[in-house]
Amino acid sequence: MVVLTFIQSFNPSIITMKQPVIFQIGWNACIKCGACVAVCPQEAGFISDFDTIAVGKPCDIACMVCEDICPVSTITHELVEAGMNGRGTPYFTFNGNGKKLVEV
Amino acid sequence: MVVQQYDVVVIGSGPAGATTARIAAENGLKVLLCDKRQELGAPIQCSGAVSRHGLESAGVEPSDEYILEPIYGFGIYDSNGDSTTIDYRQIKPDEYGEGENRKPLGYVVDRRRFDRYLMTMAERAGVEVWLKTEGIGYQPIEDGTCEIQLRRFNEKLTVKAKVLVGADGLQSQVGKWAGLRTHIKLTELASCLQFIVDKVETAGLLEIVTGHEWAPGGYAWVFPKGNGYAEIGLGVIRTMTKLNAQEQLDHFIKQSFFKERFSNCRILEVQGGGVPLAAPLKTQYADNLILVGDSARHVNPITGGGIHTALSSGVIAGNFLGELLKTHKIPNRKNLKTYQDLWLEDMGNKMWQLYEVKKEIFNTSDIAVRDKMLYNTMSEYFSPNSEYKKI
Repeated sequence: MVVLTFIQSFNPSIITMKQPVIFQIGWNACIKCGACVAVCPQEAGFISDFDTIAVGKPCDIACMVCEDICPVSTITHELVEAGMNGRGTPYFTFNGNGKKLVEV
Repeated sequence: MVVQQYDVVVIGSGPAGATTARIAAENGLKVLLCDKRQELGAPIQCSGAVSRHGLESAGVEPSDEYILEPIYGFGIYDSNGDSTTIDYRQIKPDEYGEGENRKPLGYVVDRRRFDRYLMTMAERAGVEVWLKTEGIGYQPIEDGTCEIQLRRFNEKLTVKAKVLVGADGLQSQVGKWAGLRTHIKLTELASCLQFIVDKVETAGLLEIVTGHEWAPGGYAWVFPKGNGYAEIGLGVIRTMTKLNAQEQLDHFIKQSFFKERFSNCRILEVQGGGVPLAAPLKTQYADNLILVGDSARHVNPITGGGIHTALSSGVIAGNFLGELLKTHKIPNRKNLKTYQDLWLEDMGNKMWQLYEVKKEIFNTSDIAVRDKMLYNTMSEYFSPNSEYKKI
């Protein structure tokens, strides 16, 4: 059993193996400026229908620079637990307390 | 199904995309210009300042249709409020001013009207324009052209083109399709917020407030916005401050030497965005693909200005594509590199120099020294003798 600890990095330019996250956007404050997408190192298509970073799917880079760049700080995240299901395909589930170790 | 064929397909109808499309059409090419939005220019992510020279060099007539207010110079402030005024109405009174035979130095434009105006110019030059049309992907194919997948009012369709032009802004997905690293480092993307306000006086000048206290890593601005309105905004580098742009703007409005001036201001619009204070993209081309404007980071790294640079790159790209396709050269990576070379020669090399200046300022760790360097650089930059005046 491998245990990965969640590393809180204060240098967002360093991309480390982190626990995947799912981003959430407070649409009420979002000004649809797209700065989160401009700074996002993900591949093409990691976007929402409202020109923000993707919501509702896991981000395995978890560098959080999108949260930092947001002029109105309206991006938050929940940690997801990564694992393999019985068929050998990856699955993710929300991790309620947001601080737990990920067990793979 | 018959696949429609074009010489050039442009994705994104901002200043860079619409200008590329227009100039390419004027060169006799068959051009399709797509934009996924229903209303161009919106949501506004830009302060709207552009020089008259920038418009005219791209063949864009200054027009009341999109101009909010003419600009005659600059006011540069240090963090304490001491300032340098560079008013071209006083420096060159025969040339600049409101009277007959005198002209403004530049304008603040309404990006919604401006972007629509540029698209209309393209349309009138023969460009086919599709709104509510987003790009999904592209693949170079064996015959030397490429296939582009689009979604138009929910309908998926494929078109063919010799060259795809990515003009899809800072958030460029087109560049990523080709594997170009278009995303910007957090340390080089200014997080910006601005308010259009009532009850703040302006005097035909672009006012720029420097100083780490007010806008760490960037600067704050007060621009005239027409009809007695003004625009108060700022950009910050988030690694240099704990406050986000919104909190930093609140601090600037309530605590700075302008707090009396702003005390009755009423917010009419909220706008924001990312502004790259970065080097241009090192590779702006791939097989059957070039990038223009913000997507190639054609933005002045000192001022954050991107309209003039977008228009200029559109002219370069449009003319280049006209020449290239007239000679029936294959638009592969190798042949499209010439576009970037031409762009570097015209303004890219100067932007690289400005990037070095910018880096030197913001890599200075002593805040007082850094503040002074930025104030001096801004004051020199906008002076009549500046060597960088044209970008």
